[in-house]
Amino acid sequence: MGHLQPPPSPQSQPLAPASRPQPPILAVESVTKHYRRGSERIVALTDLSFSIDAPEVVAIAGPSGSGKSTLLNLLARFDVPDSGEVRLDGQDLASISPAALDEFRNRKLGFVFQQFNLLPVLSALENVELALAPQALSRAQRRERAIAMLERVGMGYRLAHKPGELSGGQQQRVAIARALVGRPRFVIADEPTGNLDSKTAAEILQLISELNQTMQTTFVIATHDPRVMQLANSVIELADGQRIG
Amino acid sequence: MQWLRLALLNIWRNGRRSLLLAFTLCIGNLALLLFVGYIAATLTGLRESTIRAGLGHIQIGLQGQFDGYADQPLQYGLTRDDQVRLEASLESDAAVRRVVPRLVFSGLVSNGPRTLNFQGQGIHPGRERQAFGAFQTLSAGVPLQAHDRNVYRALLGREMARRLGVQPGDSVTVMSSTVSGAINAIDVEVAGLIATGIPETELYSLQLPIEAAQELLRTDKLSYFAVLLNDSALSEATQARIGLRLGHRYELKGWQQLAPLYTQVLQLYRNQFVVFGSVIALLVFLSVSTMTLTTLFERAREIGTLRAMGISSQTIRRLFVHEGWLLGLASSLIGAGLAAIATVVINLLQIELPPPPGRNSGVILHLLWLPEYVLPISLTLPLVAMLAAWWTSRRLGRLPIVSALAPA
Repeated sequence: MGHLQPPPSPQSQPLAPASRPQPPILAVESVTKHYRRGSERIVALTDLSFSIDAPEVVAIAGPSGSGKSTLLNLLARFDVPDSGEVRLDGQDLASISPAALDEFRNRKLGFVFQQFNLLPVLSALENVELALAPQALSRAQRRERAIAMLERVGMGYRLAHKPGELSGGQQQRVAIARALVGRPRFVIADEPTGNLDSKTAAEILQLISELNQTMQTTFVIATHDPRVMQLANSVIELADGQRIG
Repeated sequence: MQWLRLALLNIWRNGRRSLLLAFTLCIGNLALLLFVGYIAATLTGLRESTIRAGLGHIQIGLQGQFDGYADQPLQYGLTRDDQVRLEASLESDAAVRRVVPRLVFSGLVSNGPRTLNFQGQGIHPGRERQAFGAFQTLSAGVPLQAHDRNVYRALLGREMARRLGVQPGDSVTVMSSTVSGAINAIDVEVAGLIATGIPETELYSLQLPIEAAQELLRTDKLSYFAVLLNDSALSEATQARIGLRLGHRYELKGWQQLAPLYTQVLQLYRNQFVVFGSVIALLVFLSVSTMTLTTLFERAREIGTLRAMGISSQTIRRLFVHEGWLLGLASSLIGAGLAAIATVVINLLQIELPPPPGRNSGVILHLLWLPEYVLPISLTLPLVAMLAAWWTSRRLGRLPIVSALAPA
C-alpha cells in the first residue's frame, strides 16, 4: 500500500528520458540535524531519507525525543538541515530565500496543530478566511472559498461560532478547513488527535482520509496514536533521530 | 479592514489591560488640554490686560522718542503739525479703533511735608476712557472728566496717595522740568486713586489732563499716540502697513516690543508645555510598549500560527500598530471630551487663584478651549501610541516560528 521509496540514486536515473519524470511530492535525502545545548551536541536526525511520490497520508511515529518535531520543522522550512536536502515538488527548501518563505508556506503548506491554534476572537469563518489573507483575492472570493471549505469539513452550520463555542472536534475540523482552504499540496499535522476523545479522533481521521483522496492533498502527521498509524498509507518510525521502520 | 477588525477585537479581548492603558492615555490628553487651555487663557489675559491697561496695540512717535534718551524733555515730541497729520492718517484706517494722545513726563509730587517722585502721563480723559476706560480701576474717587472745566485734577496711584497721606479732594503740588529746562509747578486736586494690582505702578503713577501737563511742561507737544486696534491678531500686519504709509519720520512700537514681559512669559509657558508634553508622551510610549511586549509574549502561539500560515511578520506587526493607534485615538477622544467638560465646569466655578508674583490681588482661574490646539494634541498621543507599538513589535521579526509555537 505504501508509496515510500528510497530516494533515487543518480546512477539509477535514465540518461535521456523520453518524457520528464514527475519529481516526488516530497523527498528527504540524507538529512542530518543536530542542536547544541551548552557544550553538548544533541543529534536530532541522522541521515534520514524517504520520499513521497503520490498524495497520501504519512504518519511519523516515534517516542518523544525521537526527532518527529525536528522533521516537521524541516518540512515546514522553520529550520534547515545541517546536511542533506528536503525537496517539495522538486524544490530544495533550503534554496528558498527568507523573503519568499511566507508565500511558500501560504501556497504550498497547511498546518494542523494539536491545540487547534484558532484565533479565539474570530469566528470559524473568519479563522478560515484569514489563511487566504496573503492571497490576491477579493473579500467575496475569500468568503466563498472559506464557506465552501467549512461545508466540506462538515462545519457549514457553525460559521459564525467562535472557537470557545465549539467542541474540540469541531475546532479541529475548522483548523483542517483553515489548513486546506489555500489548496496546499502538503499538510503538516502535529498530533491532530492528541486533544480529542476516541470517537472524535476517529471522525477527524476519517475526514483527513477523505480529504486526502478527494483533494489529492498529502498529509504528514506526527503522532503517537496507533489509529493514525492504521489509517496512514505509510508510516515512518523514528527513534533517536534515525529511521527504524 | 480585516486586520483593523482583528485589532479591535484584540483590544476588546484584553479588556482590563486595554482599559488601564486607555485610562493613562485619556488622563494624559486631558491634562495636556487643560494645561494648554490654562496657558492660552493666561496669555490672552496677559495680552489683553497689557494692551488695554493703556499700552495700546501700537505707539507712534517721532524717530528717537522710544530710545529712552533725550537732551531735554520732549526733544522728540510730536509738534502740532505732526499731531494733525498723524491723527488724520490713523483715524482713516479701518483697522484702527481709537487713537489716544499721550504726554509722558516725570517729576516730584508733594503735599507739603512729604514729596515723592512720579512717572506721569498727560491724558485726554474722554478719549482714554473710550479706549481703555473699562480696564482702569479706581480704588477711590472719580476718574478725570472729559469736559471738566477744571483741568487741575489728577489721578494718583493708590500707594502714592497712601504714602503722601492724601485722599480724593485733597490738593498736591506737581513739579517738573519744562521743555526749556526750567522748573515749573502746578497745584492739582486729587480726583481718584488708581488701583492696578501692581505695587510698583500704584507707587509711581500720576495722571493729569493733557492740557495741565502741557502747561506744566510749557509746551504744545505730545510724546506719542497710543493706537487701539479692532483685532489684536492683526496687530503686526497693521503696524507694518501704517509704518509704510507714515514713512521714516515716525517710529512705531508694537505692544510686544513695549511689553517684553509678555514675550518672556510666552517663552516660559512654551518651555513648560514642551517639558510637560514630553513627560506625558514618554508615559504613553512606555505604557503602550509594555502592553505590546506583554501581548507579544501572551500571543506568541497565535503569532507563530499566523507566521506558519504564511502571514508576514510585517503584516502581524501592522496588527499591533493598529491596536496601538486605535486604543490611542479612542482614549484621546474621550480625554478631549472630558477636557471640554472640565473647561466649562472650571470656568463656571470661578475659582480664585493666589496673586501671581508682582501683583497684590488674586486672579480667577479661567481656561480657554482652542480647537486649533485640541486637534493636533489629541492626534499626537495616538501617534505616539502607534509609534510605541511599532517600535516594540519589531521583535516579531526575530521571533522564530518554532519558539512561538512551542508550548509555554
